[in-house]
Amino acid sequence: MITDNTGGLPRYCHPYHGGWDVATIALNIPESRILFICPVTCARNICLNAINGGYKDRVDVLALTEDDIVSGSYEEKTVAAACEILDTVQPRPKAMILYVSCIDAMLGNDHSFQTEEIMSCYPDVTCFVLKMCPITRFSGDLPLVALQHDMYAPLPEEPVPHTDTVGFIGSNIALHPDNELIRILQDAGYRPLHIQACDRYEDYLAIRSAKVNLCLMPFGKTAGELLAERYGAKMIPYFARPDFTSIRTTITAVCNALDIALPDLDAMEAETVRILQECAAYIGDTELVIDSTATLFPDILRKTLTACGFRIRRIYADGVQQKAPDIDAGSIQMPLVRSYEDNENVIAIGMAASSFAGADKTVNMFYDNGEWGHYALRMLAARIRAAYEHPRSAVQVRKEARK
Amino acid sequence: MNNLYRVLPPLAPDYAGACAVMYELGGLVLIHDATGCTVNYVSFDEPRWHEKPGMVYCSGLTEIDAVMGNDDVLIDKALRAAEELHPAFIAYVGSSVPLIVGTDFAGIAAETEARSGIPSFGFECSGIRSYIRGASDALYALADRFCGEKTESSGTLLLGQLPLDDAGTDASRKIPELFPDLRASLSFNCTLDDLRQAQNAACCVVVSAAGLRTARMLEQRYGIPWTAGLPLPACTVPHGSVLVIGEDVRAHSLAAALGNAAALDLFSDTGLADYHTRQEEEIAALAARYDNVIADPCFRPLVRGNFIPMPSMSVSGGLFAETVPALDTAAIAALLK
Repeated sequence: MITDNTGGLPRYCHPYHGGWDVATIALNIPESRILFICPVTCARNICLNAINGGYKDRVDVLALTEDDIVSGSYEEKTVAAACEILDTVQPRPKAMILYVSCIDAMLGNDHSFQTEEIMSCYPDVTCFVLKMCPITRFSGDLPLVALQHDMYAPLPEEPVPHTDTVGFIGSNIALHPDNELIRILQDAGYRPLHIQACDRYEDYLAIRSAKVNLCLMPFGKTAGELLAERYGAKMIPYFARPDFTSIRTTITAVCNALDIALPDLDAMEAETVRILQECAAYIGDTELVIDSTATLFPDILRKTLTACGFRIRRIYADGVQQKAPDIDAGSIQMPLVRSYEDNENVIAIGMAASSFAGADKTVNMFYDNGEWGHYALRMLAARIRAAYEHPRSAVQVRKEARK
Repeated sequence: MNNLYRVLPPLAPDYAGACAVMYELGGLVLIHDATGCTVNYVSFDEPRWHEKPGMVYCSGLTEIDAVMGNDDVLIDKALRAAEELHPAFIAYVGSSVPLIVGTDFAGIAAETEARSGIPSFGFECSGIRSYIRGASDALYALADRFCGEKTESSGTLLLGQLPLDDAGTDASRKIPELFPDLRASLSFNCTLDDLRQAQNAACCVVVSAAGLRTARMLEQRYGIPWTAGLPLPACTVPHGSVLVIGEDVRAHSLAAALGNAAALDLFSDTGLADYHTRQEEEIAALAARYDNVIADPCFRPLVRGNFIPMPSMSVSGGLFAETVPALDTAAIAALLK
């Protein structure tokens, strides 16, 4: 019996994730430090991304041996390693994250004694466990959903008074200051709080005071529910759907929740449409291919772009063809037979599409680059235009892409 | 504290070495994991992936399959993929969860072969041992299975050449150029036919410790003599003491060519190198005894003396470009104090 969603085929794993990994997400907690406790290989891509991103000094690894696993001695070693780190790092981290991997799920460990022991030695440090366990992806919440929840679960349970703060959760990247939503909030006197953009642990704690939490991506859903239940903050699930109706609905919902006057939504939309149409005219007959690593909603993006004059050749996304059999869609997880030709005259949005189509023009984008709304669509138009003006082989783009 | 990596990244694991050996041979390779191990491999341990992605896939192991020992799922996936891809062989490569649940890869491979008639292999990798161990096991198993009767004796066969030992594929392409009578370099720029004809080599050169076990087998079975090491030109410029950190054979070769130098092996402990450790404190203490240290850029924080960066995929996964050619001892010597 098949117990996963691969349809009985092995899974293709593509390497290009724009630097997104579980460590970068967890390290969004300011003044935190990670100790991975796992077989040495599990943390290899994490540490290499950390070196590449310049934050390796916040990531340590306790490499488990077979003896450690069989004997259970790694439980004591975990405490010793955490203490060694906390004794030597200055300034001392405010949060110590013990990150465990798939084998931990298999062994069914309880880490509470370790976190309690560490916190008893260092009362100024909050210590908690996060999980990098893709093996559990069909056993409960998706790992990235669970991760967002578990990042906010260690917050002190006591509620604090609400302030004019709006929390942004579920994404790995703070919205750009020029994003229309940020401007609307700031013009109305609200503080947009992305912990990704903060340097102080206090800002992480301040998420408790948010009046509203905006859930940027579906990964933040259970985190938003936790914050709503614990601190009474309304959660608005304004997922990053790249269509004008969703954008309008979201801005309206945010403004209504915070009693902010609505901006001129028609004018904003007209300007975005004008920019997209200009871009479509500029690239002419050059077709686009879109994949589901570039955006969580590739078919919605297809419809938006098509309405503005773009020609979409193909989508690489699992499940799309079942919902929309009229469009040309390919699997991203199970493309057994792949061509990987090069120099195909097409603009690929996303690295998987770039590889599969052999595109000679690529917009290297992962999960919308953390952008949303009119700002995101306008930025996409600028990127499509840049890719059109500066063709580069898919092989070269792959070599340089962030993992 | 031992096994606490505070400076270095975790080094390339055994499944990366096994997959690297099979990458160009036309086999269907399934890493038995949830996704993370395969992503590690294709992202940072296989530079050839970015040039031409290979037939390396993830089994998509789930918690329930692991707990229930549901190996039929794995075999069915391989056979279904084989119907479309027509691979020359099928190989299952283990990871950390199969280690915990004791997956019987030899049995799975045997059942696969019985059902399909396709030569099949199972490698008990764990993600805990080094890439040299995984590569050694895979190369040995393939050679043991595919090498036939000896019909001639010509050319030099390189054993154990892996892109993981270099800064990237451009650097890897220079290794075979050192051997004018090259027959083939197994594991890099080669075909399964090169492997099938390996027994016809006149001699073998082991260019990483991954080739040692196979060299011994070919010697025992076919009488093919072998040596270990790269034929690098000797350095004639006087210089201070040098510590070369890296793969056993490669580090030893460079140290021997430079003179007044020692080698520190990170991966295999075959005895060629003067030292073997991957503990950061021990490496820092050893490095302090030498005037010059040649190593991957990731080692720089552990070194107080003159540091010459020599990137290796097995350490830094292609993050750093080569600044001095790894085979050019004169250029390296010019940087020594």
